[in-house]
Amino acid sequence: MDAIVEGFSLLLKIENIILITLGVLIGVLVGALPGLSSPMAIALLTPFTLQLEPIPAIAMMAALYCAGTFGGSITAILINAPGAPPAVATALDGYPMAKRGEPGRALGLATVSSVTGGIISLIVFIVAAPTLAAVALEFRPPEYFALAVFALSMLASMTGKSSLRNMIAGAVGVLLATVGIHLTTGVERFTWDIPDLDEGIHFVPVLIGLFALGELLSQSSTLNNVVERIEAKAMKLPTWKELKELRNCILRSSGIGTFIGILPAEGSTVAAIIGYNEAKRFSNKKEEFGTGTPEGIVGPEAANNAAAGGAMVPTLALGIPGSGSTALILAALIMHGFRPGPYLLNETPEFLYAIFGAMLFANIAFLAIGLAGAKFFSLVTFIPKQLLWPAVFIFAVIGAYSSSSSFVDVYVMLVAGLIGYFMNRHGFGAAPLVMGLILGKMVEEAFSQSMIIYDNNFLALMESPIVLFFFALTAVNLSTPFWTGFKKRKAVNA
Amino acid sequence: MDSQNSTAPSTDGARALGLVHPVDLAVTAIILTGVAYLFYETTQFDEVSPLFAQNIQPAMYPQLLLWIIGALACFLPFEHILLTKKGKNIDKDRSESVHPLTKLTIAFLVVVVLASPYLGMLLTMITICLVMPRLWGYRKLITILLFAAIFPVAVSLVFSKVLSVYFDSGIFGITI
Repeated sequence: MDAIVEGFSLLLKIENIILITLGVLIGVLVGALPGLSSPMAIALLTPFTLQLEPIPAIAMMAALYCAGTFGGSITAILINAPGAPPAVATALDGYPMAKRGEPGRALGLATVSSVTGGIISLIVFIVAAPTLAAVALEFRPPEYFALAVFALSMLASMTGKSSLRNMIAGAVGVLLATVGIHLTTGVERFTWDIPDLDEGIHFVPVLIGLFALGELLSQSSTLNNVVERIEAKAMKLPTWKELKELRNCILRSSGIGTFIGILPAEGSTVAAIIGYNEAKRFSNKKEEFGTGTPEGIVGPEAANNAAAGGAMVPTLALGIPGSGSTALILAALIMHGFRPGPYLLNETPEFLYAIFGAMLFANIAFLAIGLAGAKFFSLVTFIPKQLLWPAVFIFAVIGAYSSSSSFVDVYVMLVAGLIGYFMNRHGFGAAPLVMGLILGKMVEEAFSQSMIIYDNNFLALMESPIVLFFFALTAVNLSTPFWTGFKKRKAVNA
Repeated sequence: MDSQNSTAPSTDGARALGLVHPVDLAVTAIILTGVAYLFYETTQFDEVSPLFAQNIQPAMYPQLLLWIIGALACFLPFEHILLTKKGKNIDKDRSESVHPLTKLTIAFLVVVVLASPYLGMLLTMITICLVMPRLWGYRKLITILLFAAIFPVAVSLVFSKVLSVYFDSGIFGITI
């Protein structure tokens, strides 16, 4: 009880309320601007939050994450270009509804379902995170190793062009985490006598480069794309009657989204697509999907926002990122000097309640922001890319530079950005690489400790049923892309 | 390598490409070269006594990862067969060569980043605001000038005065 009071009292400080509100505004704004995304905004924000107290800093990022997921729906509905990947399914029915003269209604449906999905997932989060953390307290290095391997295997099913490329990117991320002085022996690895590399790869410039600069370069080839914009004068909330009709769809998608969010590496985009498909599958009006049906908007929107809350469960309880954005939040936690995982929640439970409060506040705030600022957010889509992206580049340079007031970090950001651009061109995502980078240290530490415990006998790891369980899940997970492909081919041939 | 023609997501596309995807073969070659070089680097790591290392030499784990990356990369040239059958087009974003404007942007980013220690933060920001919109074809000169005059100053004020970020003044000593 003390922790709840302490957690919420931290948020009631005026400066923290301002920070979280700022996080929500930035989130909605970057979500609404095509090309900008919450992972990019979190990456850009990270160096500046290092000067804040840890709890408000992480709360601000969590609020940004929630709001960014919602913000993507604005552009999906108004210009048929999802502002953020999780809103990709919202455009399928949101844009047709807006096009037939009901943009305010489409935005209202998206907002209410987002808020509902977000709040439901937060309830699950506040119950599940401490429970999961309590279970994880029993984990020893072998169990942590197996869990981390399972989390990495989830990269195979992460959204992207191919499972194989996701896994390679993830493995490269894990390899990058080995740069620096080896903790057990003190031996330098991949440092090439550069002192800046002794402590390992600096997260901030790499994250900014991969997410911001890589996207900037991709955007440079789409400047001539013409999009039709629909202006929304005001948001129109759905009626009670309409909400009653959509209730089941919203609740189902919220459940789906929360569950998918909890799975390591699976983020809001997968949740939104499944939410949309399930809304269609259960609908009595399947033929209306794609023409601007309300279920086609609330299904993905409830799911993608619910996934945001769900993704925080493994992130805070186990130190395993639930999505690309939470991988960045995890990186920020590490930079603030925390060791994410069950001990964090057990030793500082007020932290959990502060994050919960911030995300709850964010969900309610974007309802208010949506109602009051629908017209403004529909106008931000008119900002010319030629002015928007130089501004992003400036924030990227300052962000990379300010993390240690060193131009070396700006060079690292540039190199990471160039690599990120070419990786993306060839189907290797930035998110799996970052997840590998974040999990890398944990994997190596747990692996080394396990090998010490079992005297270098890898098979002895299998003595633990929890290890066996996670390895079995890993095997199922890695084989899934192959047997689903096989099943599909068999069905086609039949 | 980037001028690979577009491949339709069909079995015909896979057949047209044959068993080995040429672009992915090149990607695999790049990855394997990197893996080989890094593997060589791991052989140069200092060894510690077995007692101190507790059976885990510093090179063991990176070598294991490099084996995994190398093994996974070997499947890349053949992956298009499976992806095409699934209806995915791996060549969608690389079917055309890198856009000329992207190449120009890369050149500008490299130049401006390398020049930033000499220009200082404020001049770097002003340069970005002046050059990049023009480079990307924005024609409203007054808007660009206003953008270059107001935005960097506003950003400098917020970050240096409010967030106490130290901004290097460069060789010209220009800062706020």
